Amino acid sequence: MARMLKTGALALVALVSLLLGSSQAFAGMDRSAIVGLLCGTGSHAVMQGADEMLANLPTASPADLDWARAVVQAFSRRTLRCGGGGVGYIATSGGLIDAARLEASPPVSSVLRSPFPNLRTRAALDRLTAAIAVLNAPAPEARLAAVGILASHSDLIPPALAEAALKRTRNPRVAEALRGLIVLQRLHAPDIGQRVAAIRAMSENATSRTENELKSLRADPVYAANPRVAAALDHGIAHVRLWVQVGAVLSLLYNGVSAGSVLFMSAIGLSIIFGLMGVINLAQGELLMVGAYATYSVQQIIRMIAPGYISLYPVVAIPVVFILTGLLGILIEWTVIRHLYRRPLMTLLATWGISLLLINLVRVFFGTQNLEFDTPPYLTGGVAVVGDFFITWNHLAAIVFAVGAFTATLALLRFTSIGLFIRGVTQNRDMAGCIGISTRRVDMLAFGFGAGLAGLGGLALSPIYNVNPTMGTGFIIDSFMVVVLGGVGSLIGTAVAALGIGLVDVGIEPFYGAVAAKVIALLLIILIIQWRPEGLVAARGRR
Amino acid sequence: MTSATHIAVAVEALVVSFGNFKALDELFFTAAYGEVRGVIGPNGAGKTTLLDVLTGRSSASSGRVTLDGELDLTRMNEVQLALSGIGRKFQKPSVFEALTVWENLDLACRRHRRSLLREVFSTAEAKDSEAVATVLERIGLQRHRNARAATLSHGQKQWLEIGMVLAQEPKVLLLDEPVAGMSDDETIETAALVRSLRGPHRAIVVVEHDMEFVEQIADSVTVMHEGKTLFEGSMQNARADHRVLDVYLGR
Amino acid sequence: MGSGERGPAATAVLIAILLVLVPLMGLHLLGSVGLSVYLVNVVGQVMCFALLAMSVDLMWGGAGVLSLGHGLFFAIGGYLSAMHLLRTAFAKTHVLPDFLQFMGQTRFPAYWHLFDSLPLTLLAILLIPGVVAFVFGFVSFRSRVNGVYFSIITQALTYTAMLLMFRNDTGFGGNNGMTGFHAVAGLPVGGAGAAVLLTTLSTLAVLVALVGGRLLITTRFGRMLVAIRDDEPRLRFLGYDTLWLKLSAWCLSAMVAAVAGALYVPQVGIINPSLLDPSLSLEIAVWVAVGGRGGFYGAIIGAVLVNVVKFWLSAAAPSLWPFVLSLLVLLVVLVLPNGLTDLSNRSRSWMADLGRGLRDSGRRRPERGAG
Repeated sequence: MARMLKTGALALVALVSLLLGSSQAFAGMDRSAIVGLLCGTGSHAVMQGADEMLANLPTASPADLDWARAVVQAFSRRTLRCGGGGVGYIATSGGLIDAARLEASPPVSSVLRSPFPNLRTRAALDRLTAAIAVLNAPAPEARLAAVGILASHSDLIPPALAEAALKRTRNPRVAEALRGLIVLQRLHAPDIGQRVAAIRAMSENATSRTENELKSLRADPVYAANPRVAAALDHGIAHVRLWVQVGAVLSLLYNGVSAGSVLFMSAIGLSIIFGLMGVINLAQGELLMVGAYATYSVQQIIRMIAPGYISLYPVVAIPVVFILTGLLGILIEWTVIRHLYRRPLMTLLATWGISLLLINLVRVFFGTQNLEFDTPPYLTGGVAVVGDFFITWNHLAAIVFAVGAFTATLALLRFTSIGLFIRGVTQNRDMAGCIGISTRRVDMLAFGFGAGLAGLGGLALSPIYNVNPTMGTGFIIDSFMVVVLGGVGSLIGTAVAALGIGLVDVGIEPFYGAVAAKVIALLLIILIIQWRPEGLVAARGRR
Repeated sequence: MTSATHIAVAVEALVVSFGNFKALDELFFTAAYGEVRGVIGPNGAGKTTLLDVLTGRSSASSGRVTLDGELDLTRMNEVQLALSGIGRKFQKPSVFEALTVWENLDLACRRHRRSLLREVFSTAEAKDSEAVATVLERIGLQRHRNARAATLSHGQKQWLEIGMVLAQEPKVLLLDEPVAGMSDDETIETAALVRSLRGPHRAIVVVEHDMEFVEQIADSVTVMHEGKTLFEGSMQNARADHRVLDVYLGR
Repeated sequence: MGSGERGPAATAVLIAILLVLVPLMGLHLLGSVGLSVYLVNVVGQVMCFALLAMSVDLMWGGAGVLSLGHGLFFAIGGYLSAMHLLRTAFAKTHVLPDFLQFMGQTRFPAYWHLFDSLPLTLLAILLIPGVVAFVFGFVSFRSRVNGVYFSIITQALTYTAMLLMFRNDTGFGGNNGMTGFHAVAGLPVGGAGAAVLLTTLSTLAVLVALVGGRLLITTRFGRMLVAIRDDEPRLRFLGYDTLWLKLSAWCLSAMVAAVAGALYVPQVGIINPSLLDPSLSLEIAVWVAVGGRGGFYGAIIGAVLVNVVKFWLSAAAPSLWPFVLSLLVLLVVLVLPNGLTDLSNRSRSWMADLGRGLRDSGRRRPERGAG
C-alpha cells in the first residue's frame, strides 16, 4: 500500500515537473537547500531545515507538499541517506533516488549516512508530518488528528498555515478545528486587536483546558504592558471559570445521580424483601454479580451465533437477566428463606452462606479475573455539555435504567394485583393471610422480583464497574444503608436515600477520598437514625 | 363521680394522630383510686391508643395527661412511666418464655429507688421473695412456680402477666383485653381476680370488647367512639344511652 | 435455650478438657509430650477463636442481639497487642517497623510510647474497645436499633473500619498491617516457649470466661438479658431501662473479643485489616450457630469444630473450604437451628427410640423391622 502510494506520488511529481518544465520554477521551496540542512551534521542543522520547510508550507504548491511529505517520511522511517556535501537520497526497494528531485539517482560510490531522529528532531518531524497532513491528507479524520497535534504546539506553527489549511478544506469539522487553532495562535499575535478577539473567541469554549491556556497567558509580558489585553484576559478567565464551575457542579450531580442509580438498583430488591418479610438478603450483592455474569454470557452466546448483532447484547440481555436472576431468587426463597421467617437473624447467616456459595461457584466456572465486555458503540463516549461536564452514555444508560426500574416497580406495586398483595402483606401479614391472600406465593414472587431487579442492576453496572466474582460484596452494605435511610419497604424513600448517598459519596470522594466518603456516609446514617429511627420516609400507620 | 383528690390519672383534650388520621381526638378521661374503670367501644375507637399514650408507646400530639393531678406523663418514656406507677398488661400475653414463673415475677419486682447496677448484680432478697410469693398466690400459679413460662397455657400466661404487673405495685393498673382467648371458666376466675385487685391506692382500667365481662367487674365505664369520649357513667346507664346503642348496634 | 439443664454437665466436661490442656502445655515445655510447635500454635489460635465466639454468644445467646461486627473488637485488641510487641521489638533491635519507614517516619509517633508498658497496654486492650463499643452501642440501642438492623449496622461499622485500616495514612500499616514481632515476655516469637505460653494463656482465658460467663447468666443480670431476648418492650414496661443493660453486656462482650484478639495476634505473628473483613465476623456467628447459642459451651465447641476443619482443609484442599463452610451454614440454619444442641437432643431421642424398639422386639416378634 505504502509502496503504491509512493510510486503514485512519484508519478505525480514526475508529471507535474514535466508539465511545468522544472520544479524549481516555483519560488516556494529551495529543495536542495532544505535537504542539505536535513542532511547536515548535528540536530541544530536538522531543526533549521525543518523550520525552513515548515515556514514554506503555507505557500507550497501541491507538488512541493508531496515532495515534503516524501522527505519527512523518509527521515522518520530512516530511509533518508546522506552523502557528502549535503546531497540526500531516499532508499527505496528500486534503489536510491535523489531526495531533492525525487528522481532515480546515478549510482553513488561514497559511503552514505542514515540520519537518526533524536528526541528534538523527532518532535519537529512529527509537527512537520502534521502540518503537511493538515494541508493535503485525503481523509478528514487524518486532518482532524493533525490539527490536534498542531494545537498542542500552536506557538511553533507559522500563523499562515492554519489559514492555508482552512482554504483547502470543505469539511465543517476540520474547518471548526482549524478556526480553533487560529484563535489559539492569535493569542500570541503581535496585533493587539487580533489578540483580544482571540481571547474573546477562546473564552466562548469554557473548559478547564481553556482556563489553563488563558491563565498561562498572564505570564506573557504583553499582559502586564497592555491594559486592553489584561482586561480582556481577566474577563475571559472569569467567564471561563464560572462555566467550568457550573460544569463541575453539574458533573458532580451527574456522577452522584449515576452512582445513586446503581445503588438504587441494588437496594430496591433489598428494600421490598425487607419490608415484606423482615429478611435481609445478604446475597443481594451476589445476585447483582450473577446478573453481570448472565449479561456476559448473553454477549458470548451472541458472539458465537450471531456476531453481526453483538452490539445489541445489552438489549437482548435485559429480559434474559431479569428472568434468570428472578428464577434464582425464587429458588433461594423456596429452598431456604421460607423456612426462616420467624428467625430473621438466621436468614442473615443463611443468605451469607448462599452468597459464599454463589461467589465460589462463579469462581469455579468463570475464574477470578475481571470480565472483558464489548462496550457497544452507543454506550461509548458521550457529549460535552458545559465546562468539563461530559454526559457519558454508559452512565446515562445506568440512570435511564434505574428510572425505568423505579417506574416499573412503582407501577407494579400501585396498579397490579400482585402489587396490591405485596403492599397488603407488607402492612399486615396475618390479616392478609386471613382474607385469603396466599402470603407464601406473594413472598416467593416478591423475592423473585427483587432478585430480578438486582440482576438488572448487575447488567447496568457491567459497562461501568469491574465485573468479577467478589464485585457484589461491597454492595450489600451500601444497599442496606440506603434501606435504613430510606425507610423500610418504601420505594420512594429508597430512591431518595440512594440518590442522597450517591451524591454524598461522589461529593466527598474528590476531597477526602473514597474511604472518608464511606465513613462520613455511615456516620450520617447513624445520626439520622437518632433523629428518625424509621428512616426518612416511614411507613404510615401503627406498629 | 369521685372527688378530684382521688383521681389517679386524668386525660385532658388528648390528641394523637398518625399522619392525617386522628386516633384520639380531644379525648377526656379519668380513672380514680379504688375503682375499676371499664373502657369499651367498637374497633378503632382508640382504646388501645389511649393505653399506648399512658404507657409511653405512642406520643401525644397535644393535650395533657397527669398522674395524681401533678405529674405530666406526656413527656415521659415508658421506663419512667412504669417507675412512676403505671403498669400495663398487654392484649397479647407478653411474658418471658425462657424464664420460670418465679423468675418472671421476681424480675417484675423492681425496687424503685435502687440503682440499676445494684439491681443487676443482686440475688433475690428475702423481702422480695415474700412479695413474689404473695403475688404468686394471688394469681393462683403456686404449683407452677418453677415451670418455664413457655409451658403455661394461654390463660395462665395472661394471669402471669397480670401478676407481673401487680408485682410492680402500680398506682394505675391497665389491663388490655385480659380475657381475650380465655375459656368461660378462666374468664370467671379472671373477673374474680380483677375485682380482688381493687384497693384504695390503685386505679384499675380495663379495656375490653366483652360487655358482660365489663359489666361484671367495672364500677363505671367510659364508652369511646372515633377517638372521643361518647359516654361516661355506670354500665346500666350506658346500656340505656341511645348514642351508645347507635354506635354498637349501628343505625 | 437448652443451657438450663444440661449446661452444668456440659460445662463440667469442658472445664475438665480445658484443665487437661493446660498441664499438657506445661509438659510440652519440659519436652515430655511430642506435640509439635505447629500443633500447639493451632490449639492456641483455636482457643482465641473460642473466646471470640463466647463474646458473640454473650450477646446473641444471652440477649438475642447478633453482632456481625465483632471482628472490629477482635482486631482492636490485636492491633493494640501488636503495637506493644513492636515497641518491645524496637527496644531490642532499634529498627523501625517497615510500615513506619515506608510512611517516611524516622521514629514512632509519640503516643506509641504508652505501649512500652505492658500494664498500660492491657488497660488499653480493655478500655479502647470498651469505649468504642459504648459509643456505638449507645447511639444504636438508644434509638432502638435492634434485630437485623443492628446486625447489619455492626457489619457496616466493621467494613468501614476495614476500609480505614487498608489506608496507609491511617498509620497502622495499611494493607500489610503490622508484623516483625520479636519476643513475647522475653520468649522469641515463633518458638516453642512462646507458643506454649500463649496457648496456655488462651486456654486459661477461655476457662475463666466460661466459669465467669456461667456465673453471670445465673445472676439477675443474666436473667434480664434473657428477658431482653424474649420480650424487650415488656421489660421496659416493667421499669427497666434496657439501654443500660444491653450496653453493659455489649461493652463486656467487646472487651472479651478484644482480649481474644490480643492473645491471637502474637500467635500468628501478624495483624492486618483482613481481620476486619465482614466475612470473618459472619464466620464467628456461624461458629456459635454450629455449636448452639446460649450458655457458652456451644460457642466453644462450635468454634473448635469449625476451625479444626478449617485448619485441616486449608492444608488439604483450600479451594474446598468456602463450599464446606457455605453448606455447613445452610445445614445448620435449615436442619439444626440450635446447632449441635439439636443434634444431641435428636440423637438422644433416637437412642430412646432405638432402646424402646429393642425392648419391644425382645418382648414380641416384630413382623416389620424395628425402626
